[in-house]
Amino acid sequence: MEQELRAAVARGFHVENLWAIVRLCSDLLRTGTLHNPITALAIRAVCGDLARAQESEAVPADYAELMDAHLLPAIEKLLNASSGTGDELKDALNELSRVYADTLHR
Amino acid sequence: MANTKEALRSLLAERAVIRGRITLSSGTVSEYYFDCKRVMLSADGAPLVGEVVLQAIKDLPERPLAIGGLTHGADPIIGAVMMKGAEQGLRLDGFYIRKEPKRHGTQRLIENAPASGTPVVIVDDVVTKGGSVVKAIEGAESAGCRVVGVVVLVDRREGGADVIRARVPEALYVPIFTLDDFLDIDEIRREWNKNSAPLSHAASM
Repeated sequence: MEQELRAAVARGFHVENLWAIVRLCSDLLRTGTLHNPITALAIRAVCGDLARAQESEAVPADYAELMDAHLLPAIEKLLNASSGTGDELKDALNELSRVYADTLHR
Repeated sequence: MANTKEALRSLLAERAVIRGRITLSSGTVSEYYFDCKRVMLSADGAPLVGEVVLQAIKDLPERPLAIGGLTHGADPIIGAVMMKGAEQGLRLDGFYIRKEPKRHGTQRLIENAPASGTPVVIVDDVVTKGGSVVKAIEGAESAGCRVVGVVVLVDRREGGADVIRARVPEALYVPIFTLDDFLDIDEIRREWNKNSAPLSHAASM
């Protein structure tokens, strides 16, 4: 299921895929098998919020491309850090938080 | 009826078409976008939507007993059609399908799910690749419903019709309008090809 999540993230952050990511994160949290479930919780929170914000909206392509360029590396870093050290996990969570905060200003 | 349909087409052409380089919910980049909410939720648009979609439902080979779809695109259509149906003595129950089950409590995927075996019609505002409609069909079927028709306001003619027909071959797929009904789309494309058109309506974040 983690591989499914990685594949979904790589597909980008358009609305349908954001919801797919949210559902996968929920499934991962329900299984209780994650070493660090905070990763799925954080990704779920960010992608769910973006999905609700963009739903039924005309999303300018420039904005969508900017989102992909910033979010993708941050989420991939978090997924990689999920099996890393506590410091790596903390850094990745902080980076995703900063990227998310940046989306709030756009 | 022809007048009502033309009035609805005219409103959609006037208010719902947004020009600009836009990423659709499917991830496809397009040079236009149909924001049907501007019509479906307007005082003059809602009754037209109700009447035109209700007529399409009456014309289905099998009469559905409930109308539903994926929230939020389908929500205004469901309400408008139910009210118009009630005015004409046609009883239709409504239901909507969430994008994901409720996280807590009942964990329901469908609100007001019809009884198993109920013939239902699925509605949506815009079809591009068919993803939202297929998700709604899957939701309805998971409750044991039988999908006898799919009615959408605008089909962008980007493959969605084939996907829907393949998913429910026994149901009739009825797009009220297709891209061809909005003649200025060609103009939009020409304009877009000439230069990068600025957005006339930006997404709110």
